[in-house]
Amino acid sequence: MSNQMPHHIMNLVSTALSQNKLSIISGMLESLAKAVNAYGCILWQVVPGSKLDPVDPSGYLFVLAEWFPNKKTDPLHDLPLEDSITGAAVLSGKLINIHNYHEDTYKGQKPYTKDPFIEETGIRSFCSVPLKFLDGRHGALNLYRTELVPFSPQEEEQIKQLASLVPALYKAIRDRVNFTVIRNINKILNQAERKASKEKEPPSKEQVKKDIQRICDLVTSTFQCIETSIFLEDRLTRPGVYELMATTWSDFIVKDVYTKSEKDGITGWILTHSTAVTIFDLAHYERDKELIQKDYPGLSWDDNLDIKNAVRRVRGLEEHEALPPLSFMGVPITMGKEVLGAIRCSVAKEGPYYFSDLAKEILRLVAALISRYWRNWIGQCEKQEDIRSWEALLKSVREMNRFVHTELTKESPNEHRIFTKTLEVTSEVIRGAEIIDVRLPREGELYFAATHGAYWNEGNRQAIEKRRHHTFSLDEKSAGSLVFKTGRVHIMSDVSKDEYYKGHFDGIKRMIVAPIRVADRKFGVLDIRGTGEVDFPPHAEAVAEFLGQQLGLFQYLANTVGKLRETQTDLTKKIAEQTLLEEQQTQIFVDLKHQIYSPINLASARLQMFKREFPDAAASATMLKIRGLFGKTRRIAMNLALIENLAREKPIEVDLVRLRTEELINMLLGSALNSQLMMRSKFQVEFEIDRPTFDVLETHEVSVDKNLLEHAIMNLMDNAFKYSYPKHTVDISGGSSKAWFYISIKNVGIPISERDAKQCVERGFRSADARKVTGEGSGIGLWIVDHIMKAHQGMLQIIPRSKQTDVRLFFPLLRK
Amino acid sequence: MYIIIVDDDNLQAEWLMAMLKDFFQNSKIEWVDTEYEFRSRIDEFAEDPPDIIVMDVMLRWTYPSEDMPVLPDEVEKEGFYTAGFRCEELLSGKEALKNVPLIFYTVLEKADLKKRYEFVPGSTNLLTKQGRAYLQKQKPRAYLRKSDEANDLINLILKLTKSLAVR
Repeated sequence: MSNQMPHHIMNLVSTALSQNKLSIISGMLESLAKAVNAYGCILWQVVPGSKLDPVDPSGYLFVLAEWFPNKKTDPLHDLPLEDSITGAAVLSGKLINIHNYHEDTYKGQKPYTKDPFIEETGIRSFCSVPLKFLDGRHGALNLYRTELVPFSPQEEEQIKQLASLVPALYKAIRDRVNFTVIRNINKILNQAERKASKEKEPPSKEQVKKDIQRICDLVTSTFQCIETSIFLEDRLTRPGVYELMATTWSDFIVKDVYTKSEKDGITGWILTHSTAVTIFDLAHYERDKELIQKDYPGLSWDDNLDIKNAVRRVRGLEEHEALPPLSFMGVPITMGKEVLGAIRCSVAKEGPYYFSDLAKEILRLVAALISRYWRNWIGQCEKQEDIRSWEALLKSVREMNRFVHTELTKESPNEHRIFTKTLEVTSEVIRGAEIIDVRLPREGELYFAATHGAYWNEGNRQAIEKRRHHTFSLDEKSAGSLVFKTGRVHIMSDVSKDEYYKGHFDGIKRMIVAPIRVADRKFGVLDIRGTGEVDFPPHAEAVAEFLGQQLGLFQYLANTVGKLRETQTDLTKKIAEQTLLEEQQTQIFVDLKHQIYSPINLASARLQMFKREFPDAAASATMLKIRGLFGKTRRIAMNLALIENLAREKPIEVDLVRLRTEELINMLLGSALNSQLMMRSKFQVEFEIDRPTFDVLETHEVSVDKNLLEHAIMNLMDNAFKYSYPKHTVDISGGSSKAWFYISIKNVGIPISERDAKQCVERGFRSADARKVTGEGSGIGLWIVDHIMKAHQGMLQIIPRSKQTDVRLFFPLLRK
Repeated sequence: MYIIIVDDDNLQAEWLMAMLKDFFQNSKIEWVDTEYEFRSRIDEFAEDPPDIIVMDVMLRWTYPSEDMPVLPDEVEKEGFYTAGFRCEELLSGKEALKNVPLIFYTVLEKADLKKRYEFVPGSTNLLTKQGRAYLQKQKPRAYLRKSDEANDLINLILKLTKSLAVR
C-alpha cells in the first residue's frame, strides 16, 4: 500500500480548506460527489429535539448543505426520521445503498419520494452514510446518481472513508469562517476607533450606523442569511428604547424600535431576559410553540409580517415550492449586567440552514465586539456632553471669578452684586433653572438676599414685594432650613410628592437646594427650582454644590478683604509699637495681598487648563490642583480673619463640639493632600497617617471648634510640606496621656533649634534657614495656631529632634 | 523664540509654560524656579541670551535641602520680597543680557513697584529705573499684573520682542 494520501481525499481536504466562506461546504460536497462519480450530494443533520430511538423515533432531518450541478430547484429540505431511508441510515448507524430509487425498498420502506426535486433531477440510485458531527449531533451524507449504476461495494468503502472525514472538515470550515468573521469585525471596529481617536469629537451617529451596517453585512455573508439586524439603546437621546441601527433586510423590517418587554416579540424577549435565543424553524413556530416556550418561558411571536411569504418573495419561490428551515438566532448585546441591545439573524439563504450552537456562540462574540464599540462611543458622547457642560460652567465661573476679584478690590465689596452674578451664572449653567435665589439667615429665619428669574417679577408691585420679603423660619421643615442645618445638598426631583411642598407651590416640579458654606461655616443656601417638563441635567447637583461653595468662599473673602484695610491700620500700629521697620510692615501686607490673590488667579487659570485637558488623565490632576488652590485661598482668608481679631486683641471664640475619629482623619487627609498638591512633584514629599493612633477619640471625649482645628491643621501641614527635604515623608499620628489628647505632625527637613522652637510662635518670626526657602508668607501661621490652641485651653508644642521636627497640638481630655 | 520664566510657584509656571507653548509654537521655554538658580545660571544665559524674560518679583532663594546655599547679605537684608528686582539688576549688569526685554509678571500692584521703578509717562506697562529718564533705546523693562488670562502677557511679549527686532 502506498503511504501517500489517496488523490480523492487530498482533493477533498484541500477544497474544504481553500476558502473562509460557508459556501465552501458545498464545494466540499462537490469534490466528494465527483470523487465517487455521483451526480449530487446532500449533507443531512438531525433537527434538535428529535428522538433517535430505533423503535420509536420522532423528528426530522434537515439539509445542512447540498451540491448539485445545474440545480433548477432546491432539494427537499426535511425528511422524517421514521419514514425515510436516510432516517433509517441514521437510526441504524449503517450505510444503506439504494440501487433503484423507484423500485428498491428497505425494510419494507420505499425511499422518500414526495419532492419534485427527485423527478426533476431524475435520480435513480443513492447511498446514505450515517455521520456523527463533532458537536455530537447525528446526520447523514447522501450521494445520488441519475444513471441506474448503483454504488459498488468498493465505492461503498470509498464513500465510508470520505464520509468519515466530513465531520472534522465541516468543523474546520466553520471554525475558520467564525475566526475570519471575528477578525474582520475587529478590523472594522479598530479602524473606526483609530479614525475616531484622531478627531476631537466622537463620530456622528450616522457614521456609527455605517460601521454597524458593515458588521451586519459581514455577519449576513458569514451565516448566509437574509437578515441580520442590530438594535441598540442610545441612552443619551432615546433612553429605554432599542432602535434599529442597521439591517440587511430593510424591506421586511418595519419595526425600528424595541423595548424590554416580553410582548415585544422575540427581540423584546431577548432584551428583557438578556438571554440568547435560537429557533429552528420560524415557519413551524405555532407547531413547536410549546417546545420553544419550555426553553424560553414567556416568549411569544406573532407572524404579523407573514415571514414565509416574505422569504418566498426574496428567494423567488412559488407557493407550492418547499421552504428550507427559517432559522432564527438572536443574542443580547451586553456590558456586564447592562443590556445595550441585541443582534439577530434569520433565514439562511443556503445550507447550512440551521443556526447551530456554534453559530450562536460566534454571534455572542460579535455582540461583545459591538458592545465594546458602542459603549466606547456612548462614553465619548457623554464625555463630550460633559465637556460642553463643564465648558459652560468654567466660562461662567471664570467670569464670576473676575467679577468677584474686581469687587473685592473695591473699597467696600458689595455682596449683593456677587450674589446676583452667581444667580445669573446658575441660570446659564443649569438647564431648566428658572426660579433661583440666595437665602441668608437672620434671627432664626431665612430671607431672600438675592433673586433671579421671571417669577420674581410677576404680578403687581405689591405681590412682588410680598414675595421677595417672605421669610422662612429655620424651624420649618422646608428644604432651605434642612440644607442650612445639615450643610448638605438636597434634591427633590418631584416636588408634588413632598408632604411639605405639596399644594404650596403649584407649577414647581423640581428643586435643588445647596448650602453656601466654607468648611463648617454656613452662610446660607442657594435655591434652584424648575417648572418645565425636562429634568435638570445630571451634573446639576454637582454644579449647584460647587456654586454654593464658590459663593461661600466669595462671601468669606468679601467679609475678610473688606476688613483688611482696618486690620492693616491696626496691625501697622501694633508693628510700629514693636519697632519693626516701616518697610517690613509694608512687605507683610504686600505678601498678604499676594497670598490672597495668587490662588484665586491661579485657580481660575487652572480651570482653563482643565478645559484644555479634559477628558485626558491630566484633567483630574488639574482638578485636584484647583481644589488645592481653593483650599489655600480658604486658609489665607481665615488667617486674615484671625489676624483681624487678634490685632484688635479680641479673643478667638470657639464653638466646641465633640471630635470624632473619622472627622479628624478626614481633616488631616484633606489638608495633607492639599498641601502635597501645592508642591512640585519632583520633591516627592509623601505623607502617612497612623489611623489606629486616633482611635482614642472613640473612648475619650475631646471638644474642638472644627473650623478652627481644621485651620490649625492646614497651617501646620503647609509648614511640614514646605520645609521638608525631598523624598521624605510627613508622619501624622495621634496620642494621649492622662489629661491630653494630641495630634502630631512630624517632618524631616530644615532643622529648628531649641531657641527658635520657642520663638517661632511669635508673630513674624522665621528662622534663618526658613527664610531661604520661602517666597511668600509672613511668619504668622504658627502665631495663629498658638492662639487657636490657647482658645481651646490646649497648647502648641514644637519639638526639635535633629533633622526632624515634631509639631503637636494638645487638647484637654474631658472624661473617660 | 527663547523665553525664560522665573517663578517659584510651580502651579503658576506650569500654566504659563503651557499657555506660551501653545501660542509660540516651536519655542524654547525654560523655567527657573529660585533666585539662587537664576544667579547661578546668569553666565549661561549670557552665552545664549533669551528673547525675553518673564520674571516674578517675590521669589524663594532656594528649596529645602541639607546643603542649602548661604544667603548673600543683600538677600538676607531685603528677603524674598524683592528677589525679582535683584535678578533684574544682575541682568542689567551683564553686557550680553542688559538689552533682553524683561516683564515683571506679578500679583503686586503698580504702587508696589514704584519704590524702585517709574512708569514711562503715557505707558501702562513700560518701566524705567527710578530717577532715570526713559530713552527710546533703553533696555525694555515692563510690568504686568498676573491674571487668569495669558493674552495680555502674550501681547506684551510680542510688543517687546518686536520693538527689539526693529532696533
